[in-house]
Amino acid sequence: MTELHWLEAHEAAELIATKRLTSLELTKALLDRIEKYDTGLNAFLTLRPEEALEDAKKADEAVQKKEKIGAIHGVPFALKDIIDAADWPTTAHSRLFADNIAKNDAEVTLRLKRAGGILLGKLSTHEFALGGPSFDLPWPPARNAWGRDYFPGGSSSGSGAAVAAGFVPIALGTDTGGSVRNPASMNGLLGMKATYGRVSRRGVIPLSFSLDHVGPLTRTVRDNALALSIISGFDEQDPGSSDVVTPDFSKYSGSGVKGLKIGVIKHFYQEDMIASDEMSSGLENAFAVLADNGAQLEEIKTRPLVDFATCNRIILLSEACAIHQKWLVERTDEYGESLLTRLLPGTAFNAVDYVQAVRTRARYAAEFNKFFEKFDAIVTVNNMEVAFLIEDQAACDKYYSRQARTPFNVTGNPALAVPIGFDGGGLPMSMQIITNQFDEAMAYRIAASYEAATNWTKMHPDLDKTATLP
Amino acid sequence: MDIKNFAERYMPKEVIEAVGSDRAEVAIKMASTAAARLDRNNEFFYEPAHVYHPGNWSAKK
Repeated sequence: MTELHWLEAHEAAELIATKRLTSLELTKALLDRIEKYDTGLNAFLTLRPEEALEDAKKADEAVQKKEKIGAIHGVPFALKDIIDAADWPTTAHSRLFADNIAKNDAEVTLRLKRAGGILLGKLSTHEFALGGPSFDLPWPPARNAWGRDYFPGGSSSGSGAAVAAGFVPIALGTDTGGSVRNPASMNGLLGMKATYGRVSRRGVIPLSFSLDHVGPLTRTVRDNALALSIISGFDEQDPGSSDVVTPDFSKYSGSGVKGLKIGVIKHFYQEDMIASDEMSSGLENAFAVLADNGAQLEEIKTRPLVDFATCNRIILLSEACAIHQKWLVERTDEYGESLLTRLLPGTAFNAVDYVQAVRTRARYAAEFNKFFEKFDAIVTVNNMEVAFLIEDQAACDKYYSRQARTPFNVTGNPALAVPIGFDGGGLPMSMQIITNQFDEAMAYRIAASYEAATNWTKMHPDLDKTATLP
Repeated sequence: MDIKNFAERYMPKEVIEAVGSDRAEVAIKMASTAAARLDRNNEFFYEPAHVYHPGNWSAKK
């Protein structure tokens, strides 16, 4: 059997359901691994081992009693610490919320629990999902599982580190300007930002209500599809939620790509920004795999990245400052410097800027979605480079914004981060697959075809080398 | 007139006093740059009614 910590969620669920593994064994194994290695990675802010073990025992009892069980019965998961779990802290990795205890489960937490998941803990994030990596907060920042000296991506940084390290098979993050896909990219994981409205945000501390998405990070395509199937669904208490049918995404992931028409956006990383040579080569190789698998690839051109980034930034910071402006004045010293720097421009935009950005967004989304009259999907770059050194502030300033994720927060389309190998230094690289609104199944289908033809999702970091303290 | 040239931005003085003029100056420059880059095409198109759905706020029975 695969080592317990590298079991996929669906594999573990199958083993537990058929009594070849107990939830208690699995949960203990993951807790042992966290205890051994998380001092080097700082993925978790809150762990409750006793509670998790108790929940695992109950899960095993349910199997023994042949009760009806869910799709991830007895399988541990973890949450970015802006997502509520009843009676757990939700700190947003900030002094401002250091004593905040959630009264209720977020809708996504509830759905994972109903599917049988065991909540193992709450994970590091950039402060309020925006400022980071930060060294001036009550808790240290999470570090990259492939090398603890490196940035793990953000803002769902702990989610990326925890899944890549084999601490949990599924973690949830949030994505407002790319914060699920960035840690997925830098930790060699699958990370899905589904269609805006597909997944409820109720019980999640907002950054920007019209751009926020909740999404899963996993090590494999199948687990990602499974996790999205579990957390998706209409929620009348989230005003952004869409009342659409939730397919079982995992059932669509084995059909191959033969005959599919895939648009390729190269100008994002060849003209608007220039990606590193290794990233460019990695992307070309990935696109060649899709072509070898039978897809028809054709280069397309959309707006330059700066148009989408400007629209995203004005909406995001205006909405964020609607929440934070009062605290910025009254509790300034409780903010970390990185969040202050990123947030403050939002207090200087005016009402016309915001409304104009919202109008612009609608136009950009309509323009972009015309591609799907001809194409089944679009592929492009994720980050322009691999992870930078986490303590190198100059590198952070230079590289943090060099990405092509914000366009799809603006348009609301599904965007899936998919690992495409490693650079010469052993750090993960990534592409994005973008599909028509509510067609996440197509993204999983293409990703599954690519995954089957490559070996990237089977590769894991050796934490004895990458996660131990100096 | 260049319609993108609405670039000068201001920060409420309460915020400047709270965060200090150095931070404020950097932030105002960033906001002004973004405001100058914002696409101000004045096409009428799905005016922002799409962000408000009265049905979301109707009483649940």
